[in-house]
Amino acid sequence: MALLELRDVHSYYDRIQALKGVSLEVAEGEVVTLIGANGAGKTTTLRTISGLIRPREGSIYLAGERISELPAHAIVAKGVVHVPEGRGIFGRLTVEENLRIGAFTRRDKAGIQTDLDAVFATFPRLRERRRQAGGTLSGGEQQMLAMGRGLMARPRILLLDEPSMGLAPILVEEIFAIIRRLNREQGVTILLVEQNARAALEVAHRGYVLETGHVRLAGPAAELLVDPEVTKAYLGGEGQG
Amino acid sequence: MRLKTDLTTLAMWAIGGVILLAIVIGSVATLRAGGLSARAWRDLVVFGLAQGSLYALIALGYTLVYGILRMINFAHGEVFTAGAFTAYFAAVPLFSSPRFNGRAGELPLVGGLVAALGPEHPVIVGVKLLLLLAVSMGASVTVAVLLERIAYRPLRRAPRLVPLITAIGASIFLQYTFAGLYGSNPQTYPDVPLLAGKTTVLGVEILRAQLLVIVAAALLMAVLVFLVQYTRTGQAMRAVSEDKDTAALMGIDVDAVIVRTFIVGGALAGAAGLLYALLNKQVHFYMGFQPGLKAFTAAVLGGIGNVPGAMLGGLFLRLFESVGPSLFLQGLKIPAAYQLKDAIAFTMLVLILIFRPTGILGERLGAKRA
Repeated sequence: MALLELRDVHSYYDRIQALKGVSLEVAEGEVVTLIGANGAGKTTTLRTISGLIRPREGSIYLAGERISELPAHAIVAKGVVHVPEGRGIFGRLTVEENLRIGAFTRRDKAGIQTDLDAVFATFPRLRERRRQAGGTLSGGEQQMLAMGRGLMARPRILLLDEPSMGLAPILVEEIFAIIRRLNREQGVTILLVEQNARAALEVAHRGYVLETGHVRLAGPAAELLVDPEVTKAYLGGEGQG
Repeated sequence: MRLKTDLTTLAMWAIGGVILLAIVIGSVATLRAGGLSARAWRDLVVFGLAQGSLYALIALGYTLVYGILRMINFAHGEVFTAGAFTAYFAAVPLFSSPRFNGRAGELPLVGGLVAALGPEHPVIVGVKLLLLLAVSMGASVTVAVLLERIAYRPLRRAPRLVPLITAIGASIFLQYTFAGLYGSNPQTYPDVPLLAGKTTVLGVEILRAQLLVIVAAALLMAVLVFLVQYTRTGQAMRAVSEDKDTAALMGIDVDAVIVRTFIVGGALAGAAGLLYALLNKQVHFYMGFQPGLKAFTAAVLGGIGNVPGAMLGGLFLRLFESVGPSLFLQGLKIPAAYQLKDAIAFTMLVLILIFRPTGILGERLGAKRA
């Protein structure tokens, strides 16, 4: 059984339909990427999964349990953790407070401390800046903080929205290396939304191509990387990443 | 366009400058004439501190709700009234009926205890005051939570003007509900033993009621700071005030946090209501309007949304109101200067808005303007 499954999900912003029947699956231990142009519905898909938008039709299941009726905070408590586009750092909270608030649904103090140390081990720069206000960090550090904060919830699945957005190429590489490590070494299941399709497909096991609210193509990442249609539309000649 | 903006700014600064100049000239003239003794000045400062700490408690309610919802809860003055006026009905039996004052044995246990210790024993008075505080806070919290549930929550996604107008409507609705329910005549709080008269603290003479107000307000504010800084609820409140969607993604129940914010603001307003009634003795259905408006001014003065700012703004505003008329105006030979204290309060607001639009401790909004 898939860990996360979307069945024919339709979502709207007011009257504008953003998702027109999206179905997809993520298995335990997988990295799955959603790629597509601006406005294809990638972010909307993540916001619908995490409960910030309620689907008007269709259902979402976590390990077979229907979660699409739950409020956002209850979905987090089930282990679906969304690291939003733009990172969503609490600028007036310190780095450590930001991380601790990621564990808001947990009550096990000892476990939280262990995970905090683990996050600091993964992102040493965050330890250096633990007393600093989140808003004073650089873009790359904020992205690390957002991902670390997501990990503090002990996610069953991590939803990452555009983790490389606005970062310098060297940081983009670092972020993708961290995503790979989180998955391969710590076994974190990840659904990754990316503009940078090539880098995303290189780190992912499978991919879905979204186009105006539909799944246009799906398949193993290695096949999508050489698919002529994908290459032409999304991997273009500019060779980023 | 550019020139026009500059002219407006220039005009505003000119107005501000003239006001500041008048304040300086007035103060110098007053001090030269030496009309008031040092003791009189000190009394004015103490009075300002006592009233100011009340304003600070009310201002915190405005600032907490604004911080979370970016709306001004204009019915907050009525939340304050609810506490003060409801507690009146508990204060009368507790402090003037013989039953609770040791002169009749109808309630054997309580009556016996009161008779044994005497109605003026500090423990008895303290317990009674705590009971009043519970009634007052309870009433204010109830009204605040109902306001959020009935008036504001359905409008969570409406344009910002809509909840603002609703709040003004709710304020008027509540005033006349109190008038209908509790009567439209002013009522006088009974005298509380131990609170009458003066006492001396650190060599300064102070009314006992004022001392109680200052100490109680300081304690409540310390509790609030602890709550906001160090508890789970406080952490959630700070997160929600920055970004509701992201807070929800952390597993925070945003609606529950909003309700808790109204509870905290209501409890502080309830406490302020009781303290106000103990200090000023009178309650009536309209009593929350003026303090509400002043406390809102204080919150803006300190930087709306900022907790220490609201405390500072309340103290600052009331100190100026208390000392200002004598200090700034008497020297300018303005008759009945104390009548102009409201003018002074709102002039302070004008000055702050001219020279520091974000308030004393407010953060500057970025270029985007949140």
